[in-house]
Parts: sequence; C-alpha cells; structure tokens
Amino acid sequence: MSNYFHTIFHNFFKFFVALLFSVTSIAQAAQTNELVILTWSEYMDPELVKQFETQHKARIKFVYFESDELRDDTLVTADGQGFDIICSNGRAIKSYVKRGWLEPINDQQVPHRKNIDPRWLNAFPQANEYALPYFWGTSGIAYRKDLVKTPIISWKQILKPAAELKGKIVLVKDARDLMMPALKSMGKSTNTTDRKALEQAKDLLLAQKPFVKDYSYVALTEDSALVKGTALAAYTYSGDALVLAEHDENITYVVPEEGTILWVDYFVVSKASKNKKLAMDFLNFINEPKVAAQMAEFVYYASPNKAAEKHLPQDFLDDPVIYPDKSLLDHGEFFRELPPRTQRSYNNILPHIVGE
Amino acid sequence: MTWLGWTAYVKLRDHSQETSLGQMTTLLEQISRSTMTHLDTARSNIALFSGSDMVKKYILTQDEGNRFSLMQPPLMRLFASYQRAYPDYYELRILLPDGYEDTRSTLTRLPNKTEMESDEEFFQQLQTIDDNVQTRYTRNPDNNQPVLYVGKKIVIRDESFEPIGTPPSLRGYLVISASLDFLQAQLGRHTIGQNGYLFITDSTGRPFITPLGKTINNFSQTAYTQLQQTMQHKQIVKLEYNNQQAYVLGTTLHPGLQLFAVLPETDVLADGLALRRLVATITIFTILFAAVLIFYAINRILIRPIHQLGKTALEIGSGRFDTDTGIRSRDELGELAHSFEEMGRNLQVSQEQINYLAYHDALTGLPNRRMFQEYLQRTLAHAQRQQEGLVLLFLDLDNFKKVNDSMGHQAGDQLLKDLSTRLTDCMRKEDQLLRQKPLIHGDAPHETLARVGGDEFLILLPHIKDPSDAAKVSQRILDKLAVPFNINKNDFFVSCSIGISMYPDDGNEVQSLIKNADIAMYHAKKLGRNNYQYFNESMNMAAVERMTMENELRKAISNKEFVLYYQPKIDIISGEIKGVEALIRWQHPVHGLVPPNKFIPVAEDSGLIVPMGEWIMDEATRQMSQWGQEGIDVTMSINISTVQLNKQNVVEVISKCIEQNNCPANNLEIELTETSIMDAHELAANMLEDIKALGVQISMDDFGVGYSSFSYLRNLPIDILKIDRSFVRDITTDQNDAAIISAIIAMAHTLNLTVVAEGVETLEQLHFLHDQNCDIAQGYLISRPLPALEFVQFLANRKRSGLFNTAVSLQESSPVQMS
Repeated sequence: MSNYFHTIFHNFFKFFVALLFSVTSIAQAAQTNELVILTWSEYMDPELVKQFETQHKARIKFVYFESDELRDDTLVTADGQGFDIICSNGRAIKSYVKRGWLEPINDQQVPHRKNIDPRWLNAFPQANEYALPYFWGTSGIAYRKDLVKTPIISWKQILKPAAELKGKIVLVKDARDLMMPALKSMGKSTNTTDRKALEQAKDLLLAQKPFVKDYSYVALTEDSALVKGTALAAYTYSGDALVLAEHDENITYVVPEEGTILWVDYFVVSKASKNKKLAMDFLNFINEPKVAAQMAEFVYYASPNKAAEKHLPQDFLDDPVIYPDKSLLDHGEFFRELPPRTQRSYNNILPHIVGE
Repeated sequence: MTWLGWTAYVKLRDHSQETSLGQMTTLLEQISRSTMTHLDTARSNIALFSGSDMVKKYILTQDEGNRFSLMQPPLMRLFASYQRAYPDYYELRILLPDGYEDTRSTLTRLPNKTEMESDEEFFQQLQTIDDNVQTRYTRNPDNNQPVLYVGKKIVIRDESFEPIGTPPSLRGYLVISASLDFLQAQLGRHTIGQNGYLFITDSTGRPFITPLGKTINNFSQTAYTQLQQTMQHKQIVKLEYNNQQAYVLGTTLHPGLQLFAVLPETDVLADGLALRRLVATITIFTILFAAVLIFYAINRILIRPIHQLGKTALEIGSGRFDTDTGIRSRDELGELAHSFEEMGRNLQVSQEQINYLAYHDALTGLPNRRMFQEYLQRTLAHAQRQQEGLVLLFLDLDNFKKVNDSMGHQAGDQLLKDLSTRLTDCMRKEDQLLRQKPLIHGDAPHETLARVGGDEFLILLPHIKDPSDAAKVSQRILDKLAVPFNINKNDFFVSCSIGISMYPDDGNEVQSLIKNADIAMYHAKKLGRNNYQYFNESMNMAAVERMTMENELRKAISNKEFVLYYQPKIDIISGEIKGVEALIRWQHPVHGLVPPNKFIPVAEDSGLIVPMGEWIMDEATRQMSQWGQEGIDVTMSINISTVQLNKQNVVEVISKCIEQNNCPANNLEIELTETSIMDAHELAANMLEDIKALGVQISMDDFGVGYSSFSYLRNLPIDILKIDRSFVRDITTDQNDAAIISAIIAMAHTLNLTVVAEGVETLEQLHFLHDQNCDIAQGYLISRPLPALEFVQFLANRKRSGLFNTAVSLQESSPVQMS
C-alpha cells in the first residue's frame, strides 16, 4: 500500500536532499557499486542509508514516485528497467512478475528475511517468493476535532457529509482508495465485483464532489490544509496522521466504524538489475533488527520485522494508531486483485470523478 | 427606349440570380475545404497516436488482468493528454479484433450503449482487407450525434516473444470519435440570399447535419435521383422541394456525406419582381426626360460648338495647351476644332522643352538644384503629414578638380556622367529618378538624386525608419566609388565625402536641411575625405561604435579573444548531469566580458558569424574529446545560426571538426532554431539528413515561438525538442502556457523526441516539468553557464559535497525546511 509521506514541494526538496546524501559517498565509487531505488519520498532514514553506503563503499540513488499509479507509469515506460530496487504495493507484485520484471528473493540472499512475520510475507500472491514487506498500516480519516460540530466516526459522514464539511474534505487520486470508503459506507467489501454496487459507489462519489476540496493526498507540512483549517477531514494513512498531529494536536486519526483496509508496502528486486548482490545486501541491511526499528521510528509505521520490536520504545509499540487492535487486524481487508473487467470499470470511473 | 428598359431588366435579373447561385458554389467549396482539413488532421493524428510506444506495449499485453491492472491507467493518461490537445476528439478507443471495446477514454461522461462493437457498421468497415486508415461519418449510437469515426488497424509483431520473421498480426484497432459540431456551426453561420440555407445528408439523402433550429425535409425520390446525376457536374438544378420550386446545388464531401445548398425560387423571383418595377419606373422617367432634352439639344447644336471654339482659343492663349474643345463631329465645325487642338499640342511640346531645361542638369540629365528644392519642399510636407523621417545626403567629390585639370573638361564631363549612373545604381531600383519623368505632386515620395553644382550632388532618402539606414546607403556609395572609372582607357580613382542631415532632428526647412548636410560634408572632408558624417554628433558616435565593433570582432577572431562557457543540463528524473550547451563569450582585452547579445547581431550582419561558428565548433569538439579523456561523459550541444546555414556548408564543418578532434559524434548535438529550419525548408531537410548521417543529434531550439507544427516535425529528422524559455517562465502562473507545455511534451514523446526545457529558474517550474514527464532541464536553478574549468569543478563538487550549492538555493525557494 501507499505512503503519501510528502507533498509536491516536499517531494522535490527531498529529491535533491536525497541526491545530496546519495552522491556524497565515496567519490571513486565505481559505477558498478551503485543502486537505484524507486520509492516514496522520505520513506527511509537518510542516516541509515549513509551507514550502508559507507559499509559497502556503494552509492545509492533515489528516484521518487507520487502515487502507485504513477510508479506503474514509470515502470511501464521503462519496461521495468533502470531500477535495482522498487517499493511496491502488495497487489502490483503479481503484475510485475507476470511481465518478468522481478528477481526471486530467498533466505540465502537475505538472511534477515527470517525476522519477518510470515503474516505479511504471505499477504499477497507471489509476495513470499519475490518481495520483502517494509511497513504496514491502515487507512482512515484524519480530522480537526476542534473545528467540526460532530466528531467523525464513520465513512458515511465523509460520503454523505454534513453541511459544515462543504468544500473541506481532501481525498486521493487513486481509484481503489477512492472507492473503498464508498463501498464500505454501503456495507460492501472493497473487493466486491458486484457491478451494481460499483455503480452506486460511483454515484455516491459524484454526489460527494461539492464537499471535496481536492483529490490529492493531503500535505503533511505545517502549511497543510488540515493544519491551517482550510480542510477539516482527509483520507490518510495511519502514520501520516501522527506527523500531522505534531503540527496541531487537534488533528485526530480515526478508523471508521464500517471498517477499513490494511496495506503493506514491499521491496522487490528488478530482474534487469546489474547489481543484484548489492541489492540483496541492502534489503538484508534494512532488516537488521536495530536498523528496522530506527526506520520504523523515522516514519511512524509498524515494521513487519518481529526482531525489531525489542528495539522500539514501549510508547511506540502501544500507540493504537501504529499498532491497531487485534479485531481490526483480524477483520481488515487487503486490496485484492480484481477480476480484469472489474478493474477496467475502476479505470473508467476514476477520470470522471477526479476530472473537471 | 422601352426595348432598352427590357434588356436592362433581363440583364440585371440574370446578374442577381448569378450572384445568389455563385454564392452557393463558393459556400459549398468553403465548407468542403474545412471538412477536408479536419479529416486530414484526424488521419495524420491517428497514425501518430497508433504509432506511440505506449499503445504498442498495451496492445501486445495478452493477459487481460495485466493489461487492465498495470497497463491501462498509463494508457488512459496518455489518451487524456491527446484529448486535451484535440478537444474535439471526445472519445478515443481501442477495440480488440473480436470487437470488444477494450479501452474507452472520454473527455466528459458519455453513456456507452455497448461494449461489443462487432455488429457496428464502422467496426465491420475496419475489418476490411484494406490496411489504411478508415473513416466514416455516421451517428454515434451513444449520444445520437453526428460523428466522424477515424480508425486504424494495429498490426505489429511481438518482438519479445515471436521469432524474427514472423509476420506481424492484427492486435486491435484504434478509433477516434471526432465531434462534428464545427460543421454544424459553419452551416448555421451562412445564409444564401434571403431564405437559402445549407445542410448535410447521408448517402440516402436523409438530413444528417442541419443548421441549429432549422427543420430540413427529405428530398423526394425523383428530386434526389435528379440531383445524383447533376452533382457530378457541379450543376445547379431547379427542382421541387418542400412543395416549392428551388435551386439546389450539391457536392459529395466524403463517401456517405453530401452537402447541399438550397435557394427557393421565390427568393430569386421576388428579387426579379422588385427589379421589374424599378426598371419600368426608370424607363418611363427616362422617356419623359429625353423628350425635353432633345428639344433643348436641337436648339443648341449649332450655337454651343461655336461658343466653345471661342473659349478654346482664349484658353490656349492663356497657356492651357491641352484644352479639349469637346467637339467630335465630322462636319466643318469638327475640322476647325481639330486644328485648334493641334495648335495647342504643338505649343505644349515647346513649353515642356523649356521647362525641362529649367529643371534638369543638361550634362547628366539629373534634376537640378531648383527642381530638387521644390521636390524636397513637397516631400517635407508629406513627411510632416505622415510623421516620417527623411534623410538628405550632400555628396562632394574629393579630387574632381585634379581630373579636370589633368585630363581636360571633356574627360571631367564623362566622369560626371559615369558617376551619376553609379549613384543611381546605389539607390533602390523602383525609385530611380533617371526616368525623365517630372516629379508629379501627389506621388509617394521616392529616393531622389540631383546634381546641384559642379561636382556636388544631393540625395534625398524619404521614409527613413532607422537613422543607420543613411549610413548604409552612404557606405554603399563609398564602396561603389572605390572601383576606378575608366575614361579614355585611363583608370581614375575618385572618392567623395558625404554629409548627412535628417528631418526632423537637424531641421525642418529645405534650406536648413541642405545647409546642415553641407556642413556635415565639410566635416567629412576635414576628417580626411572618403567618409560620411552625420550632422548630428551622436549619430556619428553610433555609426563609429558599430564600425568599431565590427573591426574589433575581426581582430578578436584572429586574436582568439573568444571563450566558450558551458551550461549544464540535468536529467529531470535522476538528477544526473546529462550534457552541456556551449555558449560563446567575448573576453575583450579592455572592456572585459562582452555579452553575446551585444556582438552576435553585428557578427550575423557582417557575416563574421561564419568564421566564429567554425571556431565554436572546433573548440567545443576539442573540449569534448579532452573531457572524454578525463572520464567526463556529457553531451555537447552547439548552436548553429541561420546565417551559417545559408553561407557555408555546415555539414562539412561539423564532419571536419569531429575528425580532427577525434570526438564521439553521438555525444554531439546541433541546435537549430525552428525558424531557421522552416525558412530554408528543402535545403534544410537534406542538410539535416546529412548531419544525422554523421551520427550527430539534432535539437530544435526555441520551440513554440515560431510555427510549432507537429505534422511538419514528423517529416524532419529531429531528436530533441527544446521548449522556449518564454513558455517555461510562466508555466506555474499561466494556465494556458501550462496546457501548451503539457500538450507539447505528450506529442513530442509520441514522436520519440527528447524534451528539454530551458530557462528553468524555480523549483516550482522544475516540479511542474517533472509532473509532465519532461526529460531534461537547463537553467539558473541548476547552474549558470560556466567556464570549462569551473564546470569540471562543478561536477566534482556535486560528487564530493553532494549538490551543496544547489541544495541551499533550493532550500530558499522551497516552502519546506530541512529536517
């Protein structure tokens, strides 16, 4: 799943900062000791990246994407080449394997793989064979409890909002992330193939348009619409809400009562990579228990690495936003791969909802 | 008289009828043309769209799951960008060979009647053996609106799975649905006569596109059959339509699409009736009037001519020689009148000879001082009215006296004659005054040369816009006199001094302008002769400055005072330095660094750009191969000016430099401006092919300011498109510029061109360009142009301190603080 831990500017700023850190390493580093990683911005502690570069006399270059769909765009255009490691959402793994873009990953190449909770290794088809989970979390609503009259507890309040939310809701430009709340508010599974339900969900989203300020992931900086109060509620991923709460304590994260989805972000290794050994070394490095713990603290997300937990402070482990309670873990759905023609309906729905 | 009235009526009626019917023909042609243009554009676009990499990759993805979950969203984004560039393509679709509507991108929400297209007529047309683009005008069942379908088979081979030699196979179809609203708007805009109108039918004659708010009935079966026959000959027929007689003209726009113009006969008849009434009235009045007139004329037939002859005699006496008696009769009175006129003409010829002598110089035939002054007086008045400037050149030979003294007056006279011929040649052809035509009042003023003294000439240059034009003409004269005069088989070298005065700056009266030009001429003499001087000192400064610049440029070339600076370009995705653009700078020994906009125009004007361009090419390729040896691998782009293209064999220069400096041709880019390529059309296309053959890449500079035609670009061997800085400047503030850039980038990528944005100065601009998938950026945000050594340092710094400088400048313009 996705982490939109960035805004437009943030993204670019970080793009240069990352170059700053990545290019910093050993000047005489041969071309052959370079890794190119396609990932979300600000999703990795630069200090740890530097540590790896020094240990392995390697250079790491980051290329950032802004949404799962745009990452697919980049990969399709480049035929899956040009990157050594790619951060992928769970259901894309199968598509990539189908196109022959991925290299299998096993315990010999990445010894610390054994630290990973099998629950996350097996959450998506072919993930076990080709991917290593990096973080997981939930999707929900971040809202300003000081500025709304009624506390928000359900998706319904977002899909059929009260007058006070007119033009004050921020959603995302991603078909699955848009449809999930609508389907959930109707009491449907997010993976439903019922055409009628999809049509109803689409109608709900179209009727909701006047209440939506923007279809792009809410900014996480102090200039964020949510911090300034020009937006009152936003679709967010769990850890991001904690970043926002640092700017204004009135921002609260809620998992709506109709339920939500669980997401997992994975790292995969490109078959076209000329540096597979180094790529595997890197994946092994970020799964060293201490390293995994520091990475998690940097982004406020839960690590699938069991061994990391003993290096994390108790209040981090107790935070219900980062580690949701067991019933949610048991009942939360994943975004499953849809039958092709259902997926096609999703592709057709999106432009008409987010378009002019 | 009655017969005359009737004839006039018939002629006028026919004429009015012809006008209405002629209008029908013109309108039909006009609409045919715009329909063809629309169709041709759609045809070339579908070829362009279906050839894009993305479409090929998509259609080769057999697995439905993979196609819809991974490949379709990017494809739909590409389609949407095409549709933003061509909003009338409201639907873009990919159909599979079995007719399944696999992908459908619509600009607005449009209901979809069916996803299985196999029974649709257009789909069946697409399946015909013919591999060309198929087109059809029909009604779109989804919205019941007229539509143009343009479709193309996608027949390709899957290179990753199928062995070489496998014939390509049919993978699907790309279909554009183009809106025909523009045709309806055109039909509504035009009317014929009072009640005539236009409409379009299908092949059976049923109305297809009709002007808004107008009900159009079907033709009757007989009428339609008749029309089918006459249409081929573009004949207008009269037939029964809508229960009345009407004139109808039809034409076939496209198979299945016919355009008709209808003009009810009552319209034409109504005109005719009104006309008949008018002509009858006029005829009756004319008959009455004529009766009175004839009575009057008979009375005067003898008295008036005699009276007139008397008057003529008086007029000739008073100097009006061309007086016409107005008597043309063949009787005795007529002969007498003829003799009077003959006498007048003879007197006029002698008078003109006298005049000519008074106004022209007898030796050279040029106007003399008197005529010149009168003409200048008139021209000044004209210039005042038009608020134009004019220029006076006072020209005096420097050594005429010597010729006269040593060779005699005859030789001197010959010299003056030859001289005036040369001077005349210096002036614009259409303005030559040597045609011995008197300067008629009211003619637009033209350049005038006059001999005003022994060896003194005056030249008048009207309509002057730029004072430097005077210097150009003067220089032309000096150059022309540098060639010796051959008189009696002896060569004479003659030079002259020229003084320049200008209206209104140096005076607004004839005398003051001539006097000031004279003064300036003496000044020129004092300064050593054989030169020209402005009366106004500051003008002299400007002329001197330009001459100095040209001379210094000449020196600079031989002294090697030029240096090249290199401005880095980055790959927008990876942030890597991809290449540099070589930019010339002049390191002047006294004035320091001279900016290119100061000296490039002078270099282009004087042709010095040619040796300069050769030096740039040589130096840049040398630097490139030096960097290559130091392990620096960047592309080098070099600008070629229009003047170079026209004046030298650029291909030869490039290949020579590549060879001599042993530099890798594939890292070399040539930047040409759009305008220079378009201006030298055919020559350019061949030359570009030759440059490509060397392995050099070609970049089109300043794209967007000139013609910006993509259909033209397709036919040129261009690799890179450089978007002009003026667009980049406003992308974050101007919605229009943003839309244009995003369309340019999408289309350029379809043509497999790399897109470079220049003049990138802010982070917001870079971000926008990244979003639009622009490939490469250049501008002060990345770096200013750097000397070679500094560029090497710049590269090293980026490696060592990791972009520190850039990061600092970015931090300032970024709303986010470093955490």
